Amino acid sequence: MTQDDRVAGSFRDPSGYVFWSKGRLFRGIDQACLETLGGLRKQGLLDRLIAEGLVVPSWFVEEEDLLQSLRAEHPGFSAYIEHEVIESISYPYEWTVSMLAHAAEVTLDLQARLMQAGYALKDATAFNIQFHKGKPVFIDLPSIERPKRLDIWYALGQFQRMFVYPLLLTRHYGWDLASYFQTRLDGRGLQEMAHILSPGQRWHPRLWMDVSLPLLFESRAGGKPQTGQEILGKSVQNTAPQEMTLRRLRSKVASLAAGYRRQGTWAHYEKTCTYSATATNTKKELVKRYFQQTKPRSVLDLGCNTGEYTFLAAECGARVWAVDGDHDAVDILYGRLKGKSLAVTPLVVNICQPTPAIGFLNEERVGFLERGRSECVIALALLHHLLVSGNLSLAACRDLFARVTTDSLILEFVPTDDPMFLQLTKYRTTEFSGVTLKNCLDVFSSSFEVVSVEPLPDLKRHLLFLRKKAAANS
Amino acid sequence: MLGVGITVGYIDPGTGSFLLQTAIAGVIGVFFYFRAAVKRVVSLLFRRKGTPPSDDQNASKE
Repeated sequence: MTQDDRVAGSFRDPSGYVFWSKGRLFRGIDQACLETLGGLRKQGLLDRLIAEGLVVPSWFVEEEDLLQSLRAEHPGFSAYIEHEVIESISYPYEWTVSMLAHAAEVTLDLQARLMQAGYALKDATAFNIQFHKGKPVFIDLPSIERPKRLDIWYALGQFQRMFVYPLLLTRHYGWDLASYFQTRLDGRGLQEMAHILSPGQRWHPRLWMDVSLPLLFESRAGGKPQTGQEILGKSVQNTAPQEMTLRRLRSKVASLAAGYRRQGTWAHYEKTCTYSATATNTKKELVKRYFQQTKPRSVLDLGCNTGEYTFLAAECGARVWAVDGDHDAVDILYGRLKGKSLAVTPLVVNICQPTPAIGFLNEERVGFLERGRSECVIALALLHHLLVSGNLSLAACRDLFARVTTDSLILEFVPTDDPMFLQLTKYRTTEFSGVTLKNCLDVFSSSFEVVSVEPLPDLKRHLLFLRKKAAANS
Repeated sequence: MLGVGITVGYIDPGTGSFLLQTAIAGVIGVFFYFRAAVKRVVSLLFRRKGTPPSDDQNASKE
């Protein structure tokens, strides 16, 4: 058995784990899990949930040769499931409010469908949802169980911590999802919510069902003679109370997401920037031609804004990471994906302080720089932000780009007398005289070969097409 | 207020929501029980007043 091919985040589940084998993704499961999932498959429900887009495409491995090799590599399992590979793994602390709300809806819809068939999700963590071709899907099949009681949902508390509380805090109390999740991978508990909210806020009607009353019950939990096992051991087939809970949660999640007010300044950038129509068209044409010539399989769009170039890359066949530090711009980009089946993963990441590797052994959740590496990186109208707001040198920018691209870089050079550069440095005393096109090319030439330098009409900006030198590969 | 000061580390997160759910489920369960009982009584009364039920109706009740 090899430990290296095990997926680092897959270690908590006692019923099995996920591993790679020859570029394919498998999950070994034990007998109890096989009975549950086998029952789901026999009813045809598993295939229906996959067809409806609620569950990631998955199938039982039945080919004898493959089974034998999997048993040899990872012995001790009753069955093996193969999952369709989701190449762009993202985490809730990088999602936008709409993405978290859609992930919540998929969790609730799945739970409702399972409940009707006598099953349930025993976990309701947002980490069990991934975005696949722009849509949320459930990925953790062993979380499905056959509970005795169908009138309550055991995972409700976790659902509230992972979905309801962060949506409440972003909608009403000015929080952001990175602050909520990054230091609490399992969300924030009731007691913490009680500390976050003032005593007056705790009794607001919108919090009654999810915070105020549960707190009241929790404070009296110690004195209860019954244990959770005793309560859950009782067989109840009446699903009406749980149906009510799920309906309430679904409308709550939808209204919290709909009520979120955008505040970002970047969402209107395309309307306020200094580009003429000719410059925009030339820039798009140049980038598109480069994509068509080099056909990158993966593109990382840094500073993607609302996604003009993200869509261009995706339409040229690339899998795209669309990354921006501004939540609202990314939220708009995510909205634009609706109805399209494009391999785009929009994420809120400040590239000057990318998401770190965190969780158990600091390996459970992978850092963004490792996940986001792509064949082509595009950094359009970004350089002046890195230099001024990010306080980075040209050399630091070069090292950042060299770290995240495996092959090419499209960089827009913004000179110091550009109106947007001047606006950024209006109240700065820092000297930027070293930021010239010549210097930039000199600095970048240690890690990149310059393929071409194209001037943009009506502007002093240039588009730089660069290929990473083999020696710069780390 | 609202039990913020209890020994947090020894309470499983989600306990409050779990107990609230069981309480609500209990109330709804009682409601369903009585509703079923009332239905039974009504159907019995209705049967006494009307014609005796046919075999089909008996079968559907089982």
